[in-house]
Amino acid sequence: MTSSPASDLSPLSTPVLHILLALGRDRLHGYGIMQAIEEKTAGVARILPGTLYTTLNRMLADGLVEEAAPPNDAPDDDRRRRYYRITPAGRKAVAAEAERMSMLLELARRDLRIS
Amino acid sequence: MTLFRLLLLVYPRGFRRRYGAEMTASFAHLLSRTRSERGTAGVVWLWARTVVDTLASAVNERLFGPRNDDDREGVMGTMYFHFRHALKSLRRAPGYAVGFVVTLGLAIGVNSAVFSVVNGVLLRPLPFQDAERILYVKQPVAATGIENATFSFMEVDDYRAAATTIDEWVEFGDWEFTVVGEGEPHRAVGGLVTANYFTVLGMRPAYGRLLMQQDDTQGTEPVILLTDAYWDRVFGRDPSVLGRVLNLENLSVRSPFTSAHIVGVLEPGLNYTGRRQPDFFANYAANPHYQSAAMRDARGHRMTDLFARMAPGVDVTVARSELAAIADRLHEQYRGDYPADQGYGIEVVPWQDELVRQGRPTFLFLMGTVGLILLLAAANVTNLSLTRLIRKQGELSTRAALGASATELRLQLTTENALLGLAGGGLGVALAYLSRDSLVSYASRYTVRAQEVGVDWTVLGATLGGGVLLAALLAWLPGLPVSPGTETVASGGSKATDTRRRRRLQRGLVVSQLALSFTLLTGAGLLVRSLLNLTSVDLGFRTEQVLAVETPTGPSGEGLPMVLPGEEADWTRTLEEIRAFPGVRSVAVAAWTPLSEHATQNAYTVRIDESPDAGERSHLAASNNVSPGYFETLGIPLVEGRTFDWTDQASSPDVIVLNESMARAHFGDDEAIGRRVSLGSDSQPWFRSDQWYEVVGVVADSRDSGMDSEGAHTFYRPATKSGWGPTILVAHAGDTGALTQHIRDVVRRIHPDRAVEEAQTMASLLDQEMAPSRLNAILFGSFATLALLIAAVGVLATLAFSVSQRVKEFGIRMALGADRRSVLANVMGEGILMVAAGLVVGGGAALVLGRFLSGLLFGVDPTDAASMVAAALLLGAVALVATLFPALRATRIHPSEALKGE
Repeated sequence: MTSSPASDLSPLSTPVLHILLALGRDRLHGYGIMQAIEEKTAGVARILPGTLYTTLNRMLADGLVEEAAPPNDAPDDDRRRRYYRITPAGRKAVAAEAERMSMLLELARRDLRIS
Repeated sequence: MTLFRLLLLVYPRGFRRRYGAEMTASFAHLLSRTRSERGTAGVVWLWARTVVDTLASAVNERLFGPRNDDDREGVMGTMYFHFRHALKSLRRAPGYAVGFVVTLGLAIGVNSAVFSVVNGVLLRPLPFQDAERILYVKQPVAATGIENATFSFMEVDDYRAAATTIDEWVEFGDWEFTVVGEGEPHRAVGGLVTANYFTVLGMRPAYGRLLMQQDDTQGTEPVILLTDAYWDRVFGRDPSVLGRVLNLENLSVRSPFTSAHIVGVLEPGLNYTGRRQPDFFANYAANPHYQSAAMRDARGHRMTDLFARMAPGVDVTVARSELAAIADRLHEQYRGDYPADQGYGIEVVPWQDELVRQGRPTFLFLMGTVGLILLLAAANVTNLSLTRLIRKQGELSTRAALGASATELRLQLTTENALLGLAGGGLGVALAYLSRDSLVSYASRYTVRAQEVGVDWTVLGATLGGGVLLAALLAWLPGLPVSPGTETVASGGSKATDTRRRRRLQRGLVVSQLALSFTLLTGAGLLVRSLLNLTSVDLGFRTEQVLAVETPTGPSGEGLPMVLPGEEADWTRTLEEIRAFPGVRSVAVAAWTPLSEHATQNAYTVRIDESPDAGERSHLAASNNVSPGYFETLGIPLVEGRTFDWTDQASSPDVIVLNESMARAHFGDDEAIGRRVSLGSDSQPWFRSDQWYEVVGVVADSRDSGMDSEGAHTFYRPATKSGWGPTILVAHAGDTGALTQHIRDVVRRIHPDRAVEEAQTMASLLDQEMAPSRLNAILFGSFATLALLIAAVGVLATLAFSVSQRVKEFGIRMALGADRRSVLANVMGEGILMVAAGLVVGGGAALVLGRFLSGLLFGVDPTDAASMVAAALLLGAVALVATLFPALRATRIHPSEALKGE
């Protein structure tokens, strides 16, 4: 049985969310994703190969990401590697998650007076 | 990097093939960057985190990751695939999984708990060498109701000389001593044994030596062998105890103590010989009474318990008939010692049976009960599985259509259920394990073997195995859509038949659940009524605000007279000082406390008014020595005559007070006061048939010897004349704590060699007396409640499912103008029909169950109608509520829903 990603995957697990955000505009290979996450969060979040690839494997199965051809500007050395990019379903899922979080943030601001 | 590649082996093969190289490359980048940025410490830290991350993500991938076809290779692969699929599938049906596991877990839990008792107490052999060859020999006296008169030394000698089927005879006496000079004076239980006791049971000394044959000879020194527990408690495991002297207080007038040398300490272990766990063992020399001429030379002077070890290869029936023949010959030869009208006999039972005799019926009954609960749970789980199968029909059909074989689907379901069964079994074992302590204390009310109760491998294996087997079976048995692809889907015609058959089966299962829980509820009702009857029993004496403090001396508890010459003045002073304490209303002394373990009954030959005839054999009667104030303290009313007063001294004539039942039995409606009686007893030689007492009073009956001792005979003799007993009874108002301390201080000061036991209130003694009944009622009541809940869930689930299957039907009915009430009636009617059927079947079973219960009941008929009606009402009410929910759901079906359902 296949499940519809939008309903099943909300809220998203932390690694899934980070990977989706890392792949926001670019297509990246595995190590690229690891680097992007570190850079975007200024080193606060870090993902290791085990979690990265098992999560990617599931996201591929769920249709949140897909494999892609290497970008034209990729160095030769990296062209042999697998690249990943976000799918429309993945975009939808991350948007839904962002929506959910902003609602929570709104709630927190209002009720707890956190700014 | 080789190390990292090795680490990758934890992932499934397919995953590794696909991502292995990428992962290695990424890790290599990460490693080199970390080394340059953070040095060696950073590298070590990275490795540690990577190992954890890899293992965790591999477990996750294996259990829940998307399936790669490469993973399904070989037998292990297949099993693994099914296991994974089952886990995923169950995650999608949490209600089913939880219902299954909890129902099965609770049922298995109570079963393994009770089985651990049955296993530890009834099944497992005694932990002694040749235990299966050891017999317990009893000498019952039929006419008096005495189960075991025990044996005299002369009798043992005769059996020993004549029996060829027995290779060892072991004598044992269960005595209480007061040990003086080791810490505070305290009561200790000593087993008086022949030396072969230890070799026959295979017990070994940890220090020193065992008793030896020379210790058995007449005139030898008293010697003592400590048990490990007593050595630990009193001597703090001091190895220098060997050779020390232990002072045992006893009745000998000239020397107040028997001084016995400690010759050894036993290895840790269990001792089961008497009713109690002995603190030490001693030879006969430790009790001067055993050395007396009366003990040696009188055939009727019976004081020792007797064990016999059969010669190797002898069957118990052979030994039994040989001993019976010897008994017949002795009865013939010594007619005077075995009066024909009293019915002396001999009874030979395997020792293990004797030890668990009291508990066996209760334990077996409990086992049967929890067995029923297991059946009930099985029926419920079957029902759940069936419902789930039907719900899964669509999925199964699709998979069958896509080429999955029937066996494969079967295997899938079996794996799912086996997983659930394992979880249920695990829950059950955990429950049993947690309840071990309460089980031990429960079982210890019935048998001394209770401490052997435990959750061992037998219990564990039986429980887990049973759970998995049951669950796996359930996947095959009710799975009527044999191969969903061919039968149910392809041949549309058989679908309706299938559904009807399955619904019939489901209803049958629910009816059997209802019947079982009705049976159990009725049983619980009977036990609760018994308990209520017990609570409302009028004991005939006061239990509120009466304190009992035992101050034992010497070997006691076997009816020996408590005469301690020279102590009279001390005792009157003791009582006066206690009475002076604020709040004390009255105070008295007795040989034993009513309801205590010392409350024993014996047979007496009663003669009246100096008549020269042989006398009349009385009922079993209890004898107590009481001081003035006893009847007032316990609130036992005087019916006629007088009670004892301080003028009944050693020099004054012998007087006696009888209770009403005893007076009526011997004097009928005639006046008893002023008549003279004598009481002879074979087993208690200090009761002589030539000693005459004048009856000075008759008091009301009281149930001194236990709740069920209604109308028991009791006679009282004055403590001032026959001997001060060890129990101080105090009626008081107010706090017991300060009073207890006061009593303790007074006794310590006036009688420094007396042990002072814990003070007990009469109310707490009564509480202990009722404990087994209360525990049975609670235990059985909770089993019945459990059964009721399971059955209610069964009714609810079945009807809810039935409604969900009939959405279309109800929708059409409503559309055609049926009103809500008729739909409600339709669904509830189905439920009520099931309840009615359950009551009929369960009623029959309850009648059978009642018969097994009768031994545990008090004042209730096993076929008690009130209990049945109450159970039926309760079951009916709960079932009705369970029916209501699905019925209301049915009335809310909108006709449009019916169309959507298609």
